[in-house]
Amino acid sequence: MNSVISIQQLSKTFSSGETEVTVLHHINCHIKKGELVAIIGPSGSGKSTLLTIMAGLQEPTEGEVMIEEVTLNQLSSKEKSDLRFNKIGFILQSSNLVDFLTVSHQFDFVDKVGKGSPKTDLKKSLMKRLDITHLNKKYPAQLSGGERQRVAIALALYHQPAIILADEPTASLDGKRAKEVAKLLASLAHSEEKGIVMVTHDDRLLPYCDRVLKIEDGYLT
Amino acid sequence: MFLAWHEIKYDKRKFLLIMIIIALIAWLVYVLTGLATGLGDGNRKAIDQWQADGIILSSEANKSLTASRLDMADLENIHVPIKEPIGQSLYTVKRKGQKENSRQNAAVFGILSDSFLKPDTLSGRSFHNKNEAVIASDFKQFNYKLGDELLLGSSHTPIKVVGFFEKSTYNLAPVIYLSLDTWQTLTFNRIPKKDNLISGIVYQKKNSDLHLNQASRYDHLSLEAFIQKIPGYSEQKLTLDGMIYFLFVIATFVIGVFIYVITLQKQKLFGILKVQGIPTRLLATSVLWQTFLLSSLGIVLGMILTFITSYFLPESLPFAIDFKKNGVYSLILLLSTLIGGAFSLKSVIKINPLKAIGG
Ligand SMILES: Nc1ncnc2c1ncn2[C@@H]1O[C@H](COP(=O)(O)OP(=O)(O)OP(=O)(O)O)[C@@H](O)[C@H]1O
Ligand SMILES: [Mg+2]
Repeated sequence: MNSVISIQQLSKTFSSGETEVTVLHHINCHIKKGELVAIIGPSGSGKSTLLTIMAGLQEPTEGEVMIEEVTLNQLSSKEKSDLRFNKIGFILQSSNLVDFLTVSHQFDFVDKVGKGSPKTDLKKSLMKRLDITHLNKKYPAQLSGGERQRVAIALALYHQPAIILADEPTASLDGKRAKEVAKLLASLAHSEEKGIVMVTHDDRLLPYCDRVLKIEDGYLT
Repeated sequence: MFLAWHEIKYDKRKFLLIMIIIALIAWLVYVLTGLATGLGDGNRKAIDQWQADGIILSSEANKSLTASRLDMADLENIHVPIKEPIGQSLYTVKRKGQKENSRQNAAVFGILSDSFLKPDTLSGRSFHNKNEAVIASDFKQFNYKLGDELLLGSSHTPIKVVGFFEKSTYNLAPVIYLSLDTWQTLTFNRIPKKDNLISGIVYQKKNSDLHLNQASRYDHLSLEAFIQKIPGYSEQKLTLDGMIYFLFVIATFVIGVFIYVITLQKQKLFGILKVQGIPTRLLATSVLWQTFLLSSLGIVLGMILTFITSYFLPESLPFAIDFKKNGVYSLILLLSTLIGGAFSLKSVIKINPLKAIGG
């Protein structure tokens, strides 16, 4: 089995005081290597919650999540953090760039944290692919929303993670750019054998996805 | 380090402000240290120049050289390799022919002419005869010159300046050395047959022990203990040192608050970095690095300011830069700011990455 993410019988209940709200009900799903999976559903249906549980950012109330062969529940928060750094690339709806680093330094920072030597070729090819080479010396505040998003995508890929989790990665892009991003994610999944999960509201992107998971009121349908 | 430095470069103005505040605190610390050292020197420099081990005073003198009275005969009761009788008084001094209101305070020491206490002269010669004196270079600022005739206290006998030696002060008064004989005449001229009186005995032990006969008549002190008892010395030191210690505490809080506010501003960023698996430890060390960089730069700037200041201070202000002490205080200041920075670590650790992405 080459699932990169397996979710079994996952439920999530939020309790605040007296009231309990169950946001996710007995979810089962697998994300395989080399596929781009879209998660769609109405607002408040639990998409982001599912994504953050996959990333080990919050604990499921029941059930378990496995990343490759590792069960998330058994890891310490430090181990989860390392796992996120090494295995998971994030593309967040809000910018996940560091305000005070130039585009080029954002990549250097990843090298510093990973203690790896700079992957100059990878950096060049990613920047070319996402058409951000000319933004090299700019700070995030000097970029448009779409440019920021593309830098964020390049950065997420720079870790060379096995998994990419994207929460509405195309929200700040126009239709044309949004399709390009979806195309790019699809080609990455296929050519580099990554498991990619993308939460989206944009139906026009669905044709690029290999599978679509629909959540409604916390149930996978 | 990488994050810390790039953030400083990006937001230069904000960090420059913090650095300047550290520099101002450091500046104040160094200036106070300079004053404390200067005042301390003003009180004790002459004693330090003796390079002796201790001093014997009369037991009723309450550890004050000026109040102490011994006799030359007391030297026989003291068994130590090198011992020197010394007479000491505080006098006002003026040059002959000058107005009374030109009088300065002077610390006058009477010593034997072959005494190891005798300073090397920088100009002129040493004293050989009665009513000759060598005086500290501090007197040059009042235009005292070789060959001047001095009037000490109420005496009408002129004392001739035959030499200058290095800067030297005792109890904040510049020092005059003359022969024991001259000092005795000056001090006891109205008491007949008392010309064998001295104030105390200074000794060097040369690794052997000190033995006293009739020990109860004497009070023997190490030079450091003696200096602590110079009138005003301990009190002045305590006041200035107290201010310096308070500044360390203030530095801790001021920097603590600044770094805390900056860290709060970065909560979202740190949350997003945590989402991406950047270790909390790295974020925490980044905060400390930043504090370290800011306060190191601030401290260096404070030092430069202090050097510049020292050129503009008037000669009469006791101010001296003590590099060893400044070094120690710099380290303490650095440590204080790091402690201040460390207040923010808890909030870095507590940042919840989930909040940063906020669904
Ligand atoms: N920490 C929490 N405490 C209580 N309830 C929460 C918490 N986080 C999320 N919820 C609730 O869980 C539900 C699902 O939230 P989630 O963010 O997963 O929705 P979503 O599908 O991503 O919606 P959108 O499309 O608007 O982003 C919502 O009703 C939300 O109010
Ligand atoms: Mg959402």
